[in-house]
Amino acid sequence: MAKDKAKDSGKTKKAKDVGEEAPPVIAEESATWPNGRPNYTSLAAAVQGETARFNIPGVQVAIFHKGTLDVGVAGVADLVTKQPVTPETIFQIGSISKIFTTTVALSLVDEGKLDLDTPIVTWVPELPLADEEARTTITLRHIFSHSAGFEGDTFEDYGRGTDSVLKAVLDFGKLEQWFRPGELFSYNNNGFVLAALVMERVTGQEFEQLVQERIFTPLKLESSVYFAENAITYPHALGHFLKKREDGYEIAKPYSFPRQINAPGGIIGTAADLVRFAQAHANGGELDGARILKQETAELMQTPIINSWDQYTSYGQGWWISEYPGLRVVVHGGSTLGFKATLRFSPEEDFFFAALTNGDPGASAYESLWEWALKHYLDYELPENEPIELGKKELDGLTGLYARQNMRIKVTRDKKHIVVRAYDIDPESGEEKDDGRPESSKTFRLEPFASQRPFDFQVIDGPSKGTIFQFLPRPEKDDPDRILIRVGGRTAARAEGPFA
Amino acid sequence: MATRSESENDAVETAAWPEGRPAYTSLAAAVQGEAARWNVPGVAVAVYHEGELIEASAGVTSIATKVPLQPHAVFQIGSISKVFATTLALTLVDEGKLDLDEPVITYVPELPLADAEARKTITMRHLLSHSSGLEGDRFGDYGRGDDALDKAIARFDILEQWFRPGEAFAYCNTGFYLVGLITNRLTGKSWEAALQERVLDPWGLSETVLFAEDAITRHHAVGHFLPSREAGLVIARPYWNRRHATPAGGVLSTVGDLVTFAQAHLNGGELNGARVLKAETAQLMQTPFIKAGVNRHYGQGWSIETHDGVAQIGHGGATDGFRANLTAIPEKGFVIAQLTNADPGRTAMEQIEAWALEHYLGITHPKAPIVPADASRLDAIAGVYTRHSMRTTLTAAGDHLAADVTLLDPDSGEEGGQRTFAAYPIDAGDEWVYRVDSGEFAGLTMEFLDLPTADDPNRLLLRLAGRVAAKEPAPKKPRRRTTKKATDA
Repeated sequence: MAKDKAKDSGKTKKAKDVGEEAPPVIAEESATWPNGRPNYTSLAAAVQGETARFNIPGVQVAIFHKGTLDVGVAGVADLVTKQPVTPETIFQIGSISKIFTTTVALSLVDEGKLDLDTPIVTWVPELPLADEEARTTITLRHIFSHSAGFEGDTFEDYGRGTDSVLKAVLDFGKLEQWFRPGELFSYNNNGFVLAALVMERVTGQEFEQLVQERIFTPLKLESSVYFAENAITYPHALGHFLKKREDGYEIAKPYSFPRQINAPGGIIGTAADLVRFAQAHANGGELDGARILKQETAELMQTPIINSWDQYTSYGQGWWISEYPGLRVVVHGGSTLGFKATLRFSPEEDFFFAALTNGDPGASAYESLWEWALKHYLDYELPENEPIELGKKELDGLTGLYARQNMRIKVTRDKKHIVVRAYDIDPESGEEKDDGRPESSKTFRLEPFASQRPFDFQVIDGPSKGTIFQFLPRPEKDDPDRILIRVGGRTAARAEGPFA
Repeated sequence: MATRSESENDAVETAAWPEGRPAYTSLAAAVQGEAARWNVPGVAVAVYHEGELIEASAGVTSIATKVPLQPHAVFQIGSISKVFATTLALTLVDEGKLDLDEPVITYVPELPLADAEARKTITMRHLLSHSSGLEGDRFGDYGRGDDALDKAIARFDILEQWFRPGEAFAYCNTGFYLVGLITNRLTGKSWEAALQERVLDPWGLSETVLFAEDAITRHHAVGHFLPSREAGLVIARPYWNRRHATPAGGVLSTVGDLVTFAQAHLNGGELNGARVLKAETAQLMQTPFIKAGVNRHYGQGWSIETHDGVAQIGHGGATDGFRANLTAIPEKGFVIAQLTNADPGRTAMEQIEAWALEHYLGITHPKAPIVPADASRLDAIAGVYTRHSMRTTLTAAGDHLAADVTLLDPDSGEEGGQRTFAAYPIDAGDEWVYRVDSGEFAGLTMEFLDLPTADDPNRLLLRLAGRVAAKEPAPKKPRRRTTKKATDA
């Protein structure tokens, strides 16, 4: 496009930074809550439909089953240029990167250069953890199973240099030790920074170079990179934040975390590359003649060692493993600055699913697509959630009026159940809008079910049966009773109540 | 106008190189036309003339995404960064923290140059005017860390010293690493943070960024190579970034910000009430200091061309897959900034600038005519000229010099690409200057510098596109260092 623009004022025109433009709003603010997934007959239709239904800027899904790779795409790489997502668009995969990190470390174990049960102080004698017992006993096995016990989420900036990993680790003296190594599962990003340092020490190579040489290159993952300066040359998605729904999406800035976060979450790539990576894992550490791990090591990564999630799910080395009746699924997800991603596969079914999204609510879309894909490709339905009993006092504590812009969710209790009524209001009058929708699409009875969160509920009956409502207590200093409700990936905060 | 379609691109691909430039009647048409004519995927241009800013763009940010290129796209500006680096360094001169004539070892005592005299005598004034005599085109990779400049300078023991400081002009990237390090030391901040605080923020250059992670969330262009017309364009990977070379060539900006930057310089170092440089310092930058070619000098940071008594200041930029140019004519208050995202952008920009100077100012620069060759001079010149990344063999060929260039891998010394061209003597007063007549280097000039040394009283240097190479036999040093592919910054 060309334009010849003469300014009338004689002043220099300043082109706007694209990021400073009013954020484009795609949220359908008065949309009804999603009422169940249509019966899509193809991946393309499913991705298109769910992307729209959950208002995600862009989604890319790759599924490999019985020798065929399907890639479904929908939406845009970013809401400023509105370039369509294509199968080539690269997204940040977030914490799925941890599996790459784990894989490289285990390849060094395979070569005898590292050992999973040797205390890490052997390689990093200056490790400054305050808890001396933890300092001298933590091993890579603890790190890769998130059971090291030290505080896991610090994202400070230690510069762009190769030494950023060392600098970050030298700052670990300030991390709290929450439990003894091996005692519990607690998700730990910092552990992977430490693992990267160990790998750099025993090889003398930069961490990113190790992943390139030991995974990207042999598996021919030609669209997988670290660093913005590599991503910028590929068609790339930008992350989108949905901080306040009424403001719509905004481009996530900064684009990425500081350098030392590459080991826990720095890869940028395609869903198809993730599927290839998972195939190597499913196939015992080898793909198309390129071996990246010994078979027993690949199997070790998928062997449950610590229960970490719901009743079906445990953590191995790097991977989560869900053992549903009749179906074993190996999983890792990723959530980074405006990106949500997942990689799942069933080795027994030769079924691989990778979904990349560039908007905060992306997980809702990919969960729905996962369920659809299981049904469509494997004719499998995930087991029903198992109802539990909650005390009346606990139920009363959840009641109230939850509000999000022009939407209200009134939560009350009858004798046995939580009852929610979701409706839109007229912004002028504040009264309920008469939108002609049937009451059955507004009022739901809920029951709690077993979950890793205390207050997950599902709709018992009616057209929305199975829809999940989550109550998320998020106390703050000045508001100890603060609680959110989340449904369909959308969150509303309690404005009145509880009604007890 | 619409973006060029693929089929139009294909048509350009197979077309013969077009001869003349059409008689465009608007900047938009000129930009559109020249982008297509030279097969440049994206071009952005801003002209400031008589109080008006005129912007135009053509093509796409990337051949992969085909996003239409807007005038506010962020490009690599390459060596135009050196004028930013100079501006920043001179803010320290204005504050009395830096002296242009103090040997730089005062600021960098560990400077490990092999040539003891140069080590003791090179000053900031030499560095900013490319007259230090330091070998200039060494790139290397010293990581992404804040210590990259220190690491790069620690390897300066391998640099050739082409001539005594101040004796001649030889384009010098390495000198600007040193400028960056000195700035870094005197401000106590990273070079990028110092630039942000002392230059970009005061002048409101909010579209100018210093790292790919800041460019990626903006409307940005990606670089492209054109290995040959037949092969077509390919995306340049990786996106060129060498932290230590940022002061020499790593700034990312838009044509709008480049115009604003030039206006601040034309305005004596002050813009909208924000003074970054003293007026006399801004003037010093535009004052010829060392002769750099036909009608051309370097001041401090700026290249200065004079045609019919009218001075044009400016700077070009070339990084992997990007070509950039900024030209200003102080006495006319005229500025043209051009950013392109492919190798052939250089030719497109030359044509667009020539069109714009004629269209807006009625200025034309007729090509210097070819003059008869002096056979004995050609014979004296003939020989092999070498620098670490290029070997040029010149042969006397009657009315011209025949050049045979071999690009050398800076790592291994292995021979890479070959170029052959003819260079004809042109009318350049009492100097012998030879102009390349065709191919990739068309229009570039070759000059020869008689710079005898005690060891080599007949020592002759070839200067091609500002870079020097010594005629063999020349003093040689062992090549120990490994570097990545050399790139013009």
